[in-house]
Amino acid sequence: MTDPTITYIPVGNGDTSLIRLSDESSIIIDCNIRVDSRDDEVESCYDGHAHLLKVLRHDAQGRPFTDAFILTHPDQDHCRGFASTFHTGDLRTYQKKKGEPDKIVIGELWFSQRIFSNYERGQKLSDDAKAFKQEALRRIQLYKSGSPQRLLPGNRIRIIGYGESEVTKGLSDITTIPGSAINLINGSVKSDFSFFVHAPFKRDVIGADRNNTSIVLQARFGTNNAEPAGLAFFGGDACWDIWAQILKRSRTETLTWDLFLSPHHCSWSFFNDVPYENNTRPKQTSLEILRHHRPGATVIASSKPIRDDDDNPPHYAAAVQYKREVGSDHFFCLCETPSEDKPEPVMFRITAKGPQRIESSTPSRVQSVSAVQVSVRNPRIYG
Amino acid sequence: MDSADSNLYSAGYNVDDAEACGGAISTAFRELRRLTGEEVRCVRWNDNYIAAAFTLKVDLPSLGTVDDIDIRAREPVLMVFNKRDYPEVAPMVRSDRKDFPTDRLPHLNPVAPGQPPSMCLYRGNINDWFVEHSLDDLLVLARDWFRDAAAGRLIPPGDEFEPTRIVDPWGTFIFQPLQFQEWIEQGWKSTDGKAGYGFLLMRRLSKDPRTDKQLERTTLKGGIFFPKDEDALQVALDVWKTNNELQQNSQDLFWVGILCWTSRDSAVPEYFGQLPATMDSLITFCGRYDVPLEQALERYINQYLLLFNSVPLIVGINRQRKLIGRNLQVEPLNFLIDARDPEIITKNRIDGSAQVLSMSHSSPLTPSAAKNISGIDEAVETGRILLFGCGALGSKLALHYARSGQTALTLVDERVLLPHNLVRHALLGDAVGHNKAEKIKTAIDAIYDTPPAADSACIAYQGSALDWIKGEKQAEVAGHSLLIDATASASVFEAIIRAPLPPDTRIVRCGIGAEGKIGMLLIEGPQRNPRLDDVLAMVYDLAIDNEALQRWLQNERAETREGRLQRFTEIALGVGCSSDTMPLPDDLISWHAATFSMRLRRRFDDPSSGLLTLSYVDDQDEHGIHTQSVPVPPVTTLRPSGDRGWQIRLHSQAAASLYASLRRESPNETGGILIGLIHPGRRIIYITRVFGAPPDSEGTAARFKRGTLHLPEEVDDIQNASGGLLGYVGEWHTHPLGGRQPSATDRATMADIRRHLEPAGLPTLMLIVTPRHIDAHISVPNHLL
Repeated sequence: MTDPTITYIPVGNGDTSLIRLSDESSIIIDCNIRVDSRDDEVESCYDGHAHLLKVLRHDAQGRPFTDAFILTHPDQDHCRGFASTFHTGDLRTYQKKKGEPDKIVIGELWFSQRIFSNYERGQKLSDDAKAFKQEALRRIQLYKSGSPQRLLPGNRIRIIGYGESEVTKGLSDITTIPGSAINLINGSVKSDFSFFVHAPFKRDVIGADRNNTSIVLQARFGTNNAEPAGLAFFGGDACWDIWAQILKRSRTETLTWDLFLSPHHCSWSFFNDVPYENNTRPKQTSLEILRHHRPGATVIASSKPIRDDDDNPPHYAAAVQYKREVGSDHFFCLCETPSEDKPEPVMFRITAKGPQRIESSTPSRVQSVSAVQVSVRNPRIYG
Repeated sequence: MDSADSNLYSAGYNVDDAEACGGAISTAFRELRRLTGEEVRCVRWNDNYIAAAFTLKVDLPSLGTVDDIDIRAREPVLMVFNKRDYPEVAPMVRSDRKDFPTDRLPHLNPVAPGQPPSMCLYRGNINDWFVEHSLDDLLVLARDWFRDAAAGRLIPPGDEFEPTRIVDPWGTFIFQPLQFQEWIEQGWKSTDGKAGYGFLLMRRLSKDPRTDKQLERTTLKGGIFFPKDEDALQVALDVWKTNNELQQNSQDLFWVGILCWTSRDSAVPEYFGQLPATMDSLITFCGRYDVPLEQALERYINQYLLLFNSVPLIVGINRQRKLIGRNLQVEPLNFLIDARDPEIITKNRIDGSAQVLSMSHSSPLTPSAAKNISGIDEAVETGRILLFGCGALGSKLALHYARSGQTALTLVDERVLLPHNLVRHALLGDAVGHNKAEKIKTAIDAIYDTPPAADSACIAYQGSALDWIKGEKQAEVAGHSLLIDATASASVFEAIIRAPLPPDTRIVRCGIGAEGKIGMLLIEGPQRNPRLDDVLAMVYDLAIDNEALQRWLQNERAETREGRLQRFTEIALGVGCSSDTMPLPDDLISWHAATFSMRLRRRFDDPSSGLLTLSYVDDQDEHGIHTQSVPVPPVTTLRPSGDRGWQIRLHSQAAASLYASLRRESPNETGGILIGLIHPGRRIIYITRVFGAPPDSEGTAARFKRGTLHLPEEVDDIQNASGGLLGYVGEWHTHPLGGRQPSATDRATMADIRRHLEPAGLPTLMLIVTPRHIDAHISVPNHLL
């Protein structure tokens, strides 16, 4: 048993979130991991891959391991570095390579079937998205073939949405449809955690804009019949109209939140589809979504530092809206926390009374170097 | 922060001036202001301490604190600095709040009444921690403490109870947690599960208190518990008093204490941030949990149990949850009530103003705890160890074992400890004149509190190792999993080799050579193959490529050059350390002993092999310390035709090399010479390596001619390298098509060789290698028979 946590890793404009459950299983939602973040010269970039390797468990063969990886949608800033961070292909082909960080094994892959839809011009899949798609296809084929391998971690899949496309037909047993909750993760039923799936909706599956096909999840911590210990929203890049739909369709308890990962990296699109310069008023529905927080709630902007300029995302006026709702003490821009030159992950421990921020007690890299020097410089005497 | 806030301790303190303290203190206050970005007030603590009062920002859970504990987003704290000793002494972090929820929180250091609660921020020595950290780090620790307190996470998830911390205890009570649990169970039985009391027979380990004017710091050891039953108590009392009379001159004194307990059926959930420091507060404290302390004391005084100047008291607090780090559900709180002043006792009561001192608890050492502390897996069964020789090396080995919880030792030594032994022996001056084995046993017995069961008790045998190898104790060797010969005695070594010792007892010999520069640990294989002598032969063979060993063997040879038959003389493995003429410092012996001990603890990696471990010290070079382990696979023993009691022991790599040569040259014959050691006393020829056919040899399917090119030089080299211990011992050739018997030609050649060797007193040996066998043929001069 351990305390569940959510860690938001600073990766610029993009998402990489890590959920750890009380049974120590882990779920990664999206990744935006640059290979050059490992380059010592690029100081400002936080090394997401290294962070994951440090905190993830290892399987019996010593391979770093996550129980689930959820791709909200296949945009580059949600799957960048997928191929270099995660193992793809048959687990039996896993190889550690000298001088390279270990690849992470994914027990169960979660995605919406939208990744198999055809894309219109100008919305080509990135190489990482292709790698993801290929891995998803491999697992689907294994599943359809009825191979006993399909039930093993490393081959498992879960489809979010409706299984109607040619590729995902016949996968209803492993499909979770919006409007329902799921607590089965990587073959294990969780007693104190579940996801409530809000989106993607049926109609959006054939929609045009990829951002509007995002998986939207409410992570629910705590046992049944008790006030939830923690409620966190992950909405990928979903725009205001998706949220308006969610608001319309959902009961209050599935809308409540303590932690809200601001959609599309704190973009204005959560508040309105009309650009800010043409309409500075946020949609009432979006404000309504925000108002569903419990006391002491926090908004996380997984984006570059937010400046008072025309950039979008992150969008300055969007940040103002969020701060207005939760207070500026409860709004974190990941690339500004604790400082722009040394951003560090923002972590929350889920207590019985909601999420509690856990500021890093482990010194940053510079501090650890000096600690090593101290240790080395001093003689150690044992009595 | 409003300094006038009457809820703050600091509101009642005088203002002080950190700048006036100068140096580290004024820097620290400036640093605190910078780090916290808060107002930092400076208040007087006492003459030696100065305190910083400020608020600490705490991240609370989003919906409030867990279990609604009163921890706030801004916590007023006091950081208390030692004016003289900061930063060597870390500042204390305390809460400035008078309404701080002390009794609901673990990880607090108990403080005297009226003092601000003191946070326990670090499990180890905070001063040591602080030396390597900064004020910033200390603030992080403090911030994390409050953050975790707010989340009910000062203790990680789990169900264990943090026992009360005792800071600066007056003394220590020593007792087994299990025994304590039994006392409490017995107590509950006597009171039907209700809170109650009984008496405890204890022993005082420190100075005789009857002469004390001062109250001495005390160590008391718990012994026997008596519920407050009249008769049993009366009988026991008489025994105790008599004992004390008898023990007038001993350091150990029997003493009576009081044991109280809370009810069996209800848990006490509070943490004690404050412990009673006077009789009054102690009675109030006990009263809160219905513990009849006053009755207990009345009875105690009434029955004349107050033998000395203070009353030991243990209050068992029923937590109904396992205590962290202890296998207990009842927490013992230990006190000593100061009763020196006769005025303080009136009408069987101790005055409320009497001083009450907190005592810590410590468990007596058990072998299993020793194993844990040593990091040794308790589950690994070591069995009983038979140790020959309790000299410099043996005594240290024995204590290494004993201290790590291995008390099942049989120690054998016939000698008494002499003054010069003290230079290198584990025993100390009080052992001079006593048998070494006996005294080591006494020392080992004193390490542990309770005598171990017979099968794991240390046994001393005053007598010769030979009694065990070939005398009346021989049958008992079988009860030992390991026999360690640390005698450095050649005769014991010889006897071990010859004796039919039980095959399941692993046999080990250790010794030191080259003036302490080389240590050797020889470990036999299973079923005594390889035997100690085979492993020793391997040492000589290793010398061929090892300079340190070479130097040693060459020096030994130079020293024994005068001796007769030096070709056959083995170098005594392990110099006699009991000699006072052998210069060798204690630390060097200890280093070797430690190396041997560690190697033996690792057991034997390859169960089918023997093992040779060599440890080297180069005293000219500080970094010249290293060890080397070489597995020694079982040897092939051959009974040569015409043996007349002789035996050939062929090392495995030599045997493998013979077969390999046969296969390589087949169908042609090949051959060469044998290198090893001839031991006429044992009638054994050890073959450690073989030389193949020199380049000028000729081999056909029917005939082999061994050449000579470079051969003499090579044999010379080996003789030199091994200090003359290894050399030519015979010839070998192959019969790839079979035929284990020597041909007529073979016999003629052997006769020819014998003509040269026999006059020199050497046996003639010929091995014939066939695809599946190696056969030995020998001719031995008469004087060697």
